[in-house]
Amino acid sequence: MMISNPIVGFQQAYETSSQILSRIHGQGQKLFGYFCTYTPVELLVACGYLPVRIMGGRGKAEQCYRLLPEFICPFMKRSLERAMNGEYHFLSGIVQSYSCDAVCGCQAVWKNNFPDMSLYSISLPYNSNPQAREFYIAEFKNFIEKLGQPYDPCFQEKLRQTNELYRHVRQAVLNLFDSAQSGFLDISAEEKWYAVQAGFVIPPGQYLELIHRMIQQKKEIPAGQKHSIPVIVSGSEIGHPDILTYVEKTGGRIVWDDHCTGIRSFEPAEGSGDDPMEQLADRYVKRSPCASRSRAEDRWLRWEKKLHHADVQGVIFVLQKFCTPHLSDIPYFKEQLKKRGIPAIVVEMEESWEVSGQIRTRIDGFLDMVQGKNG
Amino acid sequence: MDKKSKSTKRLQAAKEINRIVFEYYMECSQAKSQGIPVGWMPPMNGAIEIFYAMGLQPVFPENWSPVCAAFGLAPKNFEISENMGYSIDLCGYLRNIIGYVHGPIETSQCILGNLPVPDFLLSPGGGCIPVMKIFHALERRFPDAAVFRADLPQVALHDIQPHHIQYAVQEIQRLISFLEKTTGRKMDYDKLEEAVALSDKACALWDEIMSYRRYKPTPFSAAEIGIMFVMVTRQGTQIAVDFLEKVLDELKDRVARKQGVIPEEKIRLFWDNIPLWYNLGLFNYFEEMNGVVVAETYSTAWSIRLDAEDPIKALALKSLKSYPLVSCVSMENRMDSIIKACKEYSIDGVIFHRNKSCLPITLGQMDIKRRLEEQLQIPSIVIDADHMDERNFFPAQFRNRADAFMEMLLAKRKATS
Ligand code: SF4
Ligand code: SF4
Repeated sequence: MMISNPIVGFQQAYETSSQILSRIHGQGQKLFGYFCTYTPVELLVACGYLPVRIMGGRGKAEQCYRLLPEFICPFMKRSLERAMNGEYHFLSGIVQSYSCDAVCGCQAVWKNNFPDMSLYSISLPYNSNPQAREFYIAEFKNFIEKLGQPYDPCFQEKLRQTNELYRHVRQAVLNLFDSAQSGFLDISAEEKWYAVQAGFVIPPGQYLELIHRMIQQKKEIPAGQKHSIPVIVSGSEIGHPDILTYVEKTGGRIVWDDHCTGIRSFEPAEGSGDDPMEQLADRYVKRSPCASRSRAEDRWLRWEKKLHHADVQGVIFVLQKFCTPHLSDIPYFKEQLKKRGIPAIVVEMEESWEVSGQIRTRIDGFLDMVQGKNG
Repeated sequence: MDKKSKSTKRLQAAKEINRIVFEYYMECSQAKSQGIPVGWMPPMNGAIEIFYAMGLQPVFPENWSPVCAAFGLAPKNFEISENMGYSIDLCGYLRNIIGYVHGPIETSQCILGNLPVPDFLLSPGGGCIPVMKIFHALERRFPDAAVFRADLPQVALHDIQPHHIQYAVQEIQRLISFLEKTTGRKMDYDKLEEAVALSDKACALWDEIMSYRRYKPTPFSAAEIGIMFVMVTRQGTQIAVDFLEKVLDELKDRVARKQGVIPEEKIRLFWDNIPLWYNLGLFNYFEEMNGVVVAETYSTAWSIRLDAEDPIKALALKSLKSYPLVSCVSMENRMDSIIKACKEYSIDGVIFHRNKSCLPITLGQMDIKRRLEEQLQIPSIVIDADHMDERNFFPAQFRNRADAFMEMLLAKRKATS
């Protein structure tokens, strides 16, 4: 794939990922699916697989109701719907890392209904003490062994190289977001969304090149745009960028995000340790916390730093309907934001990801209120 | 059919369990004044035996929720938590307990008293998300309580490897050190061995009690689910063992006399998922049509054994197994145990409670349903409800579906007899 405009490349890669991945699969490349960004994709690459993040995207949920209740997040509904439509036929296997009850249970449903796929689980610890780190490493080794890969010097070297590759990838994405937030890169939220999504399906080396090219094409944000209302968007998987575009069109400027189709899963770029497995474990122990695996207070620490630097005037929580981990953290966040005088709104999205009239009215009203408040 | 109703119980032991429930909650209320440190913990793990061995008072906020539902306290608690911003789509246990600790904990006039404020919290990582988030909220609500950040591998039973056990063992040891430091009490390992042996005995008795359900007519039904209270709150004590022995004696006697639950038991049913705590009378509803709910999913959680010779490892294994046994973490086991129960208890039909409040148990039900139909030709129905929140239960809809289901089963029975 050689596309001069990386933004177009990202969008195409996302929109046509099924076809591209089928082709790659046809060329003999083995593909492995995962749901959650806590999954150590480095292990998959070092074992010779191309990791593919299973995504819900937007669309209908029909067939999946034969297997799922209605009260589960659109991400899980749509992923299963797509699998039932044969869109993930190319996957050799799937791995889940107990991100939440929905993923854990859905993985079991996939297991029952797609017997040709191998399904694995990696149990990640919730703590970060030395025992938890040891457990991380034992669990990683257990996983590669299940994939038939011994933890020998040859694999260690491959893992070292893969860690290095992902360090570059993550650093590049962090730079991209940084440039955008500091006003040195004129890139819309939609474009950023596609840039992140594409990284979940494009081979990491190729992705890195595209990200570099995107940064090189930097252009400063027009002065007028800098006057729009600085907001944070937070949530889990954002299945389609229309909602982000609507926020921007209505006068919001997304200066930072805390969702798993944004910057969250890229921080930090690397971990430290004496050998590649330790480095990998350290990176995942230290990664930016998601509501599904941490206390709201631990997430808030990261927010506080951001709120300190960026002049955030409002927060828009864009949640998947029925997303227990994120819904549970809302009262705490709202309370903290209130103490700082920052208004917040919660928008719950269905599988269509349609920005309905009601959602538009609420966002309009919210941004008007924020603007009025800040003069 | 009402939104709320109490079940009719037939076992003598039902009266005894009321006394045990009362005494347990009195013990909780009085712990503080007796200088006994109080710790709140999630259910279904190996910490309870440690608490009893160290003379600490365990409190189970999740178990308090059925009490609130049964005594009609839940709606008020929901109102409080929902006003705090907790979504109505969250598990009812979460909304109930968070509401309770932010309101009625000091004022409610419940005959069982109120839960004592915790001196320490065993805050879990692992288990389901709502339980984890309940404890995060409790940490905020009780900032003076010491917090043990527990961790546990989440792994399907057939996948348990030595490193999972090793990590769980380390966590048990870390918990003991934490409790010793926080409460100033030393662990007496002889007492721990004793508590684990009692726990094992309770589990063995539990299995034996469950096995009596294979008799026709069954000597007891799911309406007696309350006996499970000892498995949740009294494991590791003589109280549980004595009570279960009495239950067993009563069942032996009933079986010898062929005394069933209803005069004519025609249809034997299985209930999947948590019951409707505010409407246990639902189990009796089937009895009007000569059906008995012979067995239910929840009881499997205690179908484990503990090796008292190696108590720490036994508790680590118990912690690793209990929750996966009944949830989607170990779907294959869950499926196999339902199939096994259906065979052992000669089940004619299965009721799947599609429980809005519990995704981890609801997920996979459709697969289990299909397997039951394909493998055992056992028909089933799906009932949409909620184990805590009566707003998600629609009696008329339930009645329509359940009536049709029972009529079909009765016709089938007639055709084959
Ligand atoms: S974290 Fe939320 S959105 Fe993500 S899979 Fe779980 S329930 Fe769905
Ligand atoms: S009812 Fe289900 S979701 Fe709720 S706390 Fe219990 S296991 Fe978790």
